[in-house]
Amino acid sequence: MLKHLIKYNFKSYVGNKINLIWNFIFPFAYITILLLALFALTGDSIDLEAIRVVLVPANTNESIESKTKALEDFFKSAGYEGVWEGEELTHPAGGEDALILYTEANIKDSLDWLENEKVDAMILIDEELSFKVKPGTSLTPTILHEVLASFEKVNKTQSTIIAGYQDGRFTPLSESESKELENNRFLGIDKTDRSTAIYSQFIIFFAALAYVTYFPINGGIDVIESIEPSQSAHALRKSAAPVSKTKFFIAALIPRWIAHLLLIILLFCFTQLLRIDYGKDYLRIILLLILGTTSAVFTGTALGALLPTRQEPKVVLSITLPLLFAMASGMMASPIHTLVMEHVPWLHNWNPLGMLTNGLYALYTDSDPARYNRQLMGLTIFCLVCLTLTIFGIRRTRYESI
Amino acid sequence: MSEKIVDVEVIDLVKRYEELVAVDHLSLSIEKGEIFGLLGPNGSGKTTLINCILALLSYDQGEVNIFGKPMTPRSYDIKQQIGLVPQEISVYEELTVYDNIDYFCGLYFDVKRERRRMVDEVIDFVQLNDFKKFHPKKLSGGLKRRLNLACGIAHRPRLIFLDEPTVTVDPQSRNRILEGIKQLRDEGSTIIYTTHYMEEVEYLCDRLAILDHGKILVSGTNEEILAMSSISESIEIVIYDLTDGIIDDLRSMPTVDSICYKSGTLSMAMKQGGNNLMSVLNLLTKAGIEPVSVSSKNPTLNDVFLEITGKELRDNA
Repeated sequence: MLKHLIKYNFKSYVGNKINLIWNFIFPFAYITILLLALFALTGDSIDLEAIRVVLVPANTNESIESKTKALEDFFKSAGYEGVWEGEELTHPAGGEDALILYTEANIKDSLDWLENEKVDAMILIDEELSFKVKPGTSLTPTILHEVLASFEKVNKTQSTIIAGYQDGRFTPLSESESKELENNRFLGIDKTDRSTAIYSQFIIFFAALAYVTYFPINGGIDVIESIEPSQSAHALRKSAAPVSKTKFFIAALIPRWIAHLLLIILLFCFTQLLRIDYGKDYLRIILLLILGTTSAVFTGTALGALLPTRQEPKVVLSITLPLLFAMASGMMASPIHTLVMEHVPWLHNWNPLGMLTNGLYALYTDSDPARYNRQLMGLTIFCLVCLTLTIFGIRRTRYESI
Repeated sequence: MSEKIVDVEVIDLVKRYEELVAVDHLSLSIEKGEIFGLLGPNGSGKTTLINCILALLSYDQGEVNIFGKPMTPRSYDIKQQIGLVPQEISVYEELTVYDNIDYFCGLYFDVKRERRRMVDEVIDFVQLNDFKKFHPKKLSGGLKRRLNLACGIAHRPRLIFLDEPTVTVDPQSRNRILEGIKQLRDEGSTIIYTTHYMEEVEYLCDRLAILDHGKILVSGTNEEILAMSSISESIEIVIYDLTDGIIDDLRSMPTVDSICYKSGTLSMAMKQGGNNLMSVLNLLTKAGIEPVSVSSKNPTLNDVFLEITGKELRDNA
């Protein structure tokens, strides 16, 4: 009997075109578009030509020399000091991936090189930075403008911080405060043993992956609709049959649950195909995703059981809840996560997407396993609470209780 | 004389929704092998009554027995022999016609081979053989109704609840469904039939009850209910040479309630009792008068229904 019920529940759920688009195709499309948007500029597929830049200190003052040195150091994060091979400024050995090649010269030589197109731009280093590019280029000035604006910002921040410590306005964090911050924040953690740098985009991506993991709330709502006589004609007809509500519940839950678990594993494999590096602890990542999807399904069953109304309010909740949780986890902007943690701690503590994001991040940074385990435990408790609410909701209905 | 077997027995049933009494001390018995019509305006308590009988709803007072046993949510042996065809078409759009019937039949029968035979038989019964592999969205309204019916009766239930099974179907499909229901009765099933179509009740039902405000107002056979009505037969005769003497003779007939002759048309309202038209025509023939045209109208179930339940709209708040 159970096999019969599961077979047809699976057939009808997977055969539903709206379900297919909403629950199965959309997550793939969403992740793909997000990846394109977040990682295209740092991916291998973009092949930018190196910009050849000549740095021209305005004078020999100590402050200008210091600024020139700082700018060279800044450029080293994305490029190399160029070497002259004959008449051409080129990259040194091993520096083929450079975005910027720089060299230093006086203003006369620089203008000459610029005119003869031996370099793409010259930067005049004075109290304010200014630059000149060779005629007919459109991308170079845009990139240079952004790079120099970033440099100025970093430079000023650094000066302010140093000045702050010197005049006593800032005090260093205690060891316990540092540890607390390290455990919870997302931005700026220096993980030098990782092969790739940590971008805030990764946090957005983790939150987005958590979002699609937590997406199938609808599946849970559908489970209850299919068994509660007050919610659908199918359920009314089935309630007249000699089958217990428990059996109907299990038969409706299993196919939807398994379909979404398979989907999330496929989605994980898909991100691996796209070469998204979020750590090598695959089993733990999959376990976390499975628990995330389970929590979504049980959130849906709890909503369905506690709101014995028609569909509309539940559809609204199934869309808004994941979005709200995802926003609180940093999907739209990674600093929101920290803000929520500080100002809305109850949402931070009970947000399943926050737990998923934290768990993925903990695995990515290879940080203390206790942090990952805490998220796993939190999600398990969340699932159990939702299941309890579901059973309570089904039992309290005026129809047959399970 | 053999004692009749009661399949459904409802005793003093009360169901309240807070202040609203949906079913009010209602008692009812339905005999084996009959088609029992349940009539009533919207909100009269028909659906609540059916849900209580099926133990889908709990009730505040009373007793429901089916096949002589108390009906509870866990009376699976009784449920095994019940079929439900809800008013709303409740089939899965994602499953084919065959799969839909197989799914619902599978709730009652686990043995695959036996189930396959039952599904084939019911497909044949509702004449959906050409549509086995169709999805419901490809079916017309009438075919969907037939599928809805098939899903409720495939397991050969002894007791079938049919809730307005012919709503929005064309006359051909309706005829097919009604014939099928009669056939089910003839094969031994007991049927509880709710509808708003009075002509269906007149055609199908062996007995019926009219419900309103959670109470049964009248119940019995068609004839018994028509006889309870104060509305009677009306006769109209077009006739040109009628004298006052003949009019007096007609007025003095014991079954005549009122009489009016105007512009060559004789209108007569009759009291209860049959064969009124024949008596009037006999009297006119004896007087040597030949009517130009004659028409007679008997009260219908619809007239009785409106007389009992009133004519005000029920869906208005």
